Amino acid sequence: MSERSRDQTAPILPYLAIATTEIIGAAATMALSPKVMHWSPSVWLIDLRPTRDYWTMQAQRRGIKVAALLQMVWAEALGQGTQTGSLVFAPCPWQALLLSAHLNERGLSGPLELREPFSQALLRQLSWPVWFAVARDYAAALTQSKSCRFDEKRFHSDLNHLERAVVRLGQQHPAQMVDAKHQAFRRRFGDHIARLWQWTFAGVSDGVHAAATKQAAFAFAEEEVFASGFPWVQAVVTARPSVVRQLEYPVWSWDQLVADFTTDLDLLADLPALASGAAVLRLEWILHLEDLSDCLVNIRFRHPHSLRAERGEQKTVLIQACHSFEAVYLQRCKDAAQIAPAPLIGWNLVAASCLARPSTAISLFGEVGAVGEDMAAAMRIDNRLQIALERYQVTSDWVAESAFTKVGAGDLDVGGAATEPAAKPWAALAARRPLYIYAEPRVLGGHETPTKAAFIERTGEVWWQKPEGTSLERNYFLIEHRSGQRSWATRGEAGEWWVHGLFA
Amino acid sequence: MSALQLQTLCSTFAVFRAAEVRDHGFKLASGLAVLDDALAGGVALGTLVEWGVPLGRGGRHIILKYLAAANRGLALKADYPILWAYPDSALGLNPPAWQALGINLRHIAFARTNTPMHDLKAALLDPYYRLVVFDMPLGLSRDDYAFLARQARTLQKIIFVLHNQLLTDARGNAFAKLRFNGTRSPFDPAKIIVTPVRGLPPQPLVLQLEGML
Repeated sequence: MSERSRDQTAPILPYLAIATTEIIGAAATMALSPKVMHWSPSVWLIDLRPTRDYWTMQAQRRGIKVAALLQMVWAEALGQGTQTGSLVFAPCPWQALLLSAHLNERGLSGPLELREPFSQALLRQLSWPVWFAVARDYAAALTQSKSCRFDEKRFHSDLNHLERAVVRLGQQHPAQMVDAKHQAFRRRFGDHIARLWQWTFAGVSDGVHAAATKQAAFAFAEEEVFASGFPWVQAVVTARPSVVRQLEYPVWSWDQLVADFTTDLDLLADLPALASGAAVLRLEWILHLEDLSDCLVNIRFRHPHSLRAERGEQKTVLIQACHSFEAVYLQRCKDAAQIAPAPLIGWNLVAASCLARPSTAISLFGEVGAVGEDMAAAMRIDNRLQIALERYQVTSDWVAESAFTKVGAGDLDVGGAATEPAAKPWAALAARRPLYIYAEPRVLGGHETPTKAAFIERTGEVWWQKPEGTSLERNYFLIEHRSGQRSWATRGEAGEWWVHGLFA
Repeated sequence: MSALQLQTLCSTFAVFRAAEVRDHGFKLASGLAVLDDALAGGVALGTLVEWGVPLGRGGRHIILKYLAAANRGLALKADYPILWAYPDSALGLNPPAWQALGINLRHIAFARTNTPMHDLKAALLDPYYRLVVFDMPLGLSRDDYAFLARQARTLQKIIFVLHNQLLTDARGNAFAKLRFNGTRSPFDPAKIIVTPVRGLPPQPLVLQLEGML
C-alpha cells in the first residue's frame, strides 16, 4: 500500500482547534462532534472521539483524507460566504490550541495535522509570547470551569516568573528548552505550568510520536477530561430536542411501554432540530416514577444514529433502550428490594448528544442508511449490539504480542501494514504461528511431556523495553501433546516448556 | 443401461448440478475439491453446520478455508463479512496468523463473549453477517440451536458451530443439517480427515492441505 493511500485512511487525531474571525454558534460546530468547547471568542475546541470512527469510515468510502472531509463538512455547516478559518488536528487539545495560535500569528491557514512533519516543525517554531498568551487563556478557562483547586493569582505569578526566566536565559522558542523535564518545571513554576509544559512537545519533541509518552500525556478517556487537568467546558445548546410523555395508566414492564416509546421516538425524529438530518449519539430517557422520583436511563450509540432512517420501527433504539431499561430501572427495583417496584407514570426523552449535520450537507453525505449499504449495515449492527465487536489490523512487528492492533470500525487499513514490502518477512513468520495465543505463556505441567518437538523460529525480544537480565531471545517450537494437540511453545532455562499459543 | 453407466451419469449430473449452484451463488465452496464434491458444490446458504474440531488438531484449517473463500467471494459472489465469536478466556487471537491463512481482516469482526446468544442476538437477527462462526461456545441449549437454525434459514446465513471435542451420534442435534468431525491424520500430518456425523454418508474424507502446521 502506498504511503499516500495509508495517509488517507489513517484515523484522525482526536482534538481539533478551529480559529475563525466569524461569529459562530455552538450548533454549527456540532456538525463535527457533539463535544465542543468555546475556548476563546475566536477559537473553538472540538473533541472528535465520539464521531472519529464515523468520519474515518466516511472518508475511506470517498477516498479522501479525514481532515479534508471535515473541512468540507465545516464549510457546509457555516454556509456560503463564511470564512472557515484554520483547522488544526492534534493528539492533545493544548497542542491544537498552540499550533492554532501560531498559525494565526504567522497568517497561515490549515488544515494541519500534528502527525505531519511540517506541522511538527511549525510547533517547534512556536514563540514564547504565543505560548504565554495561550497559557493565559488556559487560566481563564480553568477559572470558568470553577475548578476548586485552581489559584488564578498564583498561576499568573508563576507564569510571570517563567517569563522572566525565559528572558534571562535569552530563549526565543519553547523548543529550545525541549529537554527540560516537567518535574523541573513543577519545582520552579508549579503544577499547572508543569502540566502545560509536559503537553507542549509530548510525542513530537523527537520528530516521531512516541507511543508511551503520548499515552501518559493524553490519557483523556471519555468523561475523564477533568482528571487529566484540562479545563473542558462543554458548550451548551439552549434547547435540546425532547419529548414529554404523561402515561394514562402506570406501567411496570418494557412490553407495556414499548408502543408509546416508539411513538415518542418518531415524534423526536420529526422535531426541527433532528428533522434537518441530525444523528443521535446519546439519548437521555428520564423515567418519572409514581413515588415522584426520577430514574435516568442513558441510551448510547457507537456511531451516529439517524432516528428518521428507522421511523415507525426504531429497532436500533428499542434494542439498546430495552437493555438499558432492564439494567437501570429493574436493577433499581432489585437494589431497593421492592417486591412491587414503583411504576412509571411518564418520561422525558431528550436527544442529549447529537451530530448536527447541516441540511446542505445531507445532499453531500446523505442519511446514514444511504451512505453505502455495507457501511450503514455495519454501523447499524454495532449500534445494536451489547458488546463492542473487535476488529484487528496487522502491524510491522516481529514480536507476536505486538504484531497487531485493535482498531475501530473506521480505522481499518486496507490490507494493513502487512502489505508493505518491508512487512513481508513478518507475514511469512505469521503463517507459522498459531491462531490463538495466550497473553502470558503457560508452563506445561511436569507430567505432560510432548511427544514431538520441532523448532520453528528464533525471535529476538524488544530488549530496550525489558528489564536487565531477562533473556533476549525466544526459541519457538511446535510441540505435539499425547492427545494430538499442537502448541506453540518456548523452552525455559530449566528445560521446561512454556505454551504460548495453540495451532488451528 | 448398466450400473456403471448409471453411476457415471449420476456423477456427471452431480458435477453439473454442483457447478450450476456454484454459478448461481447458492453455496459456499471451501476450495477443497474432495469436500466440495461431497457437498455437491459447498455448504448451502441457510445451513447450520456443527463441527467437532478440537483446538490444535488441525480441524480449524477447514473452517478458515471457508472463511477465506467467503472473503474472496467464491461462490457467494460477494465478499461477505464474517462474524467470529470466541470465548472470553485466557486465550486471545493472533490476527497476523489469520491474515497469513487468507483471511481478510477488513471483512471479519470478532466477538469475545461467554454469552454469544445474548450478546450477538442483534447480529443474528440482521442479514449483514452472512457467515457466523461460534468457536467453542459455552452451553448452547436446544432452543439456541433452534434459533440459530431458524435464523440461518430465514436470512440465508451460514452458521458454523465449532466444538472443542469430537461429535458423536450419541448426542445428536436435529437442528444442524450437517455435522462433521475434523482432525489431522495420525499417519500423515499434512492431511485432514473429515468424518461426516450427519448429512452425508459416514465415509471419512481425506483432505490434503498445503502449509498446515
